[in-house]
Amino acid sequence: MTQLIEDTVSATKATASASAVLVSAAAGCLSIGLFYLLGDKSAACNHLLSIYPASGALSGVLVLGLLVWFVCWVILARRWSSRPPNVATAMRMAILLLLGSLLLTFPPFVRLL
Amino acid sequence: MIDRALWTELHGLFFGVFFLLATYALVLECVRYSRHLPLPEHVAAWERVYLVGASICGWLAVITGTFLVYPWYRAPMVSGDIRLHPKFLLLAHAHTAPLHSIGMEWKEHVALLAPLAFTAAALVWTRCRVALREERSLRKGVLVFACVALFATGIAGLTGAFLNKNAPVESSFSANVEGQ
Repeated sequence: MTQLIEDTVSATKATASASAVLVSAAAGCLSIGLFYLLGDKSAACNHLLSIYPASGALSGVLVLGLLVWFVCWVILARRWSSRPPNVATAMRMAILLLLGSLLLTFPPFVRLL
Repeated sequence: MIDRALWTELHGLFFGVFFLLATYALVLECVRYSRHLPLPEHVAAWERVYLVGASICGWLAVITGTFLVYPWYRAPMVSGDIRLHPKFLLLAHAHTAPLHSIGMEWKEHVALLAPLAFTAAALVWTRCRVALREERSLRKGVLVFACVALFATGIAGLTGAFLNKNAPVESSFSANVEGQ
């Protein structure tokens, strides 16, 4: 009985941890698309994103995108370790964010916005 | 001055191609275990090493692309030889201009998604095995992440090949040798 409870707890923890990894990665991907959009639409944002001037705004898009991923990961892992999410909902959210990021990195779509 | 050609080859043909093959393999594994076979409880050590190596290759492709090859590609025109400035070489002709305005712009941003999506999928694949065995939606999520990584790497590789064919990143040395 104790073993069964331990297995259930570890499965719930693993599910929460997996959901946190995927949703935070999808948020990082979406932020890459959003930073690209910002850099494309505003010269001031483009200048701010140019962390490494030789690469221009692309360097800032990469660094900030990774930062968003790590911050989201830490926050979600902490929050969901105590209150595990509905996995199906979390996956739907992650897939939507990921597809949104694909759209936001396609230049003809970005130019339409 | 073969450093530019060498780094470009390393970026695309070594890190990029290995990562492309690895994303394809991960998609196949995800499809195999999400539909047809029960997922094994433990990940083999070689599989873990392979996925970690592939993630590292993906990140190295992005880092060398962003901080080494891309600055050479977009370097401002300072010398008179347009062949040393691939971006301006592409923009100089109407039929190659879309390779920069759509191809390069798409490649440089969509490529950033690939290692991120792959790393997340590989992390879940290796470290959250219990959850993957229990939750079908989680297996579907990992499959989508692997597919996005494959798609993004494919786009980056394909546009990279077209760009390198039409306007390779060259050093002044190789441009001079060809010009003679």
